Amino acid sequence: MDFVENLDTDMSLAILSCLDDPSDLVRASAVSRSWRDFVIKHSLSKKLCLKLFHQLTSVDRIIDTSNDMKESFEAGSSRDDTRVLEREHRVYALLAKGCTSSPIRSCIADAIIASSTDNFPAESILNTLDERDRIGGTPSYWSSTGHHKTSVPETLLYQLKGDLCVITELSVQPFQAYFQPGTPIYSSHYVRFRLGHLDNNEAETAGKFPVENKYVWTYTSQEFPMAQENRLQNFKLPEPVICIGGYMLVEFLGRVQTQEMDGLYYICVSHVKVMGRSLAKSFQVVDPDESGKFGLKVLSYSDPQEMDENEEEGLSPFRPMRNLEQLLNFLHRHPLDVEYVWPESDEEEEEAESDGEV
Amino acid sequence: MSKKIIFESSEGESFEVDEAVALECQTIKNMIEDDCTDGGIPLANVNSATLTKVIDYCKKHVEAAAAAEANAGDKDIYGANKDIELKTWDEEFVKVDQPLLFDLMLAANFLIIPGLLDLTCKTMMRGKTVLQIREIFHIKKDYTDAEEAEVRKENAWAFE
Repeated sequence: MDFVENLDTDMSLAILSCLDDPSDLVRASAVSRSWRDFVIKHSLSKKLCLKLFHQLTSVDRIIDTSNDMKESFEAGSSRDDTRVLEREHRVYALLAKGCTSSPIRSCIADAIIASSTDNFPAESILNTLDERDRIGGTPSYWSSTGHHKTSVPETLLYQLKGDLCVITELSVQPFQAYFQPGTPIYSSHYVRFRLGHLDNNEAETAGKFPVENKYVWTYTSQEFPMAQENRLQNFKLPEPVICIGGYMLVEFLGRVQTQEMDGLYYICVSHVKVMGRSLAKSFQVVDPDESGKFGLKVLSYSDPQEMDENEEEGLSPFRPMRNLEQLLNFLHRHPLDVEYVWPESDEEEEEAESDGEV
Repeated sequence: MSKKIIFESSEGESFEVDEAVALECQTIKNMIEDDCTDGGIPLANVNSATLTKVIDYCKKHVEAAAAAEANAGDKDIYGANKDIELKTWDEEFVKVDQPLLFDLMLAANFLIIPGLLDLTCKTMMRGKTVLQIREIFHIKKDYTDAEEAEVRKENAWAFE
């Protein structure tokens, strides 16, 4: 029996609302005209999206650049409303699919800044992108400056691989100073994670300090206790969280380890790792505001589950150097690794350029 | 001895169940609370075969909930095993023909048994192709081929 045609609306709604896979909903919407009208009219894919990730209620407009959805502007007509609902169906189905099926992989794109750094750039936050705690015989970690008080917090700021990322796993490895007497581990009591976006209102934020005030944090995790142990410690979120805006702040609360030499408390980290599903291929976040409302821009309707071929898995330790100072520091510290310093792609580009000149 | 509730199927057959089992159905729960269950509850739109299955389902889930509660102190791994056992039981439970599955879904909706509604809906529709759904629910295709291709193109990833 075709229940959509023959049963009352509530009943059909109850039945179709059980579907929690966006692919099933999309297929249901292709069964017949009445099924399609029903799924679209009742915004079932939007409801599914919001059920999966409540934070997506913050989407306050959809920006669709594709040409295959021709707009007809008859303001206020019911035809117009249907168009809007049709578009929402398409976009939210894609969004739900991306949030649940994009491949899970490392989500950190770059390290932005640390609240303090003891020796820059030798103990830069950039070192935390590499999972190793020594590279070519050189220790690799970030170190805060020292404090007398244990209560002074520290933060590390990262950019994620997409404006929208569903974070499934967060891990931090505190650094064990294996070269110091007693090999102390400079962990913190607690660690907390915030997710959010750059504050658009640059005029207001230009002078703001510290730097994390230039960001709006729309998600704050609980405080996770951290063990004073030299291992990659996993901090389990109660459920996956969606980062809207692509930035993550790691807060270290409560210092536990003094350095013998100066009696000051430090926090040191060798690696920060974030696993999740990046939706960079499908979506972009546009103008998120103070309250977290944002425009959702669709970049591609292709299958979010498929990986881009040109995307690299994992981070190369020989990432493009951002400035001369960094490069010099790298060369200074990694004399054995020098031959690998230039990423191949850069080399090719340069060759191409010089060819052009000749 | 716990209180008994009597259901009457569309064929007029009586089914006696423990009140705790009947309480799995939100609709019946409301009736019990309103104290209007004396003399049996006639279920004019649920046949005997379906009702037998529905009662089986409710019994199993009441027992599982009771067992889980009894083991609440030392659940961890054991609790997880129980969940898996119940899930396996559910999977076996819905291995019935399409008409009965459909009747079960209607009954679950009418009696308001969310778990059973979810289970039957997903069994009928999860991972199914458009053609399969049309077959299951005897739906006539009213799209032209060109229209259907257009609809499929919209979210092509769901049809791969």
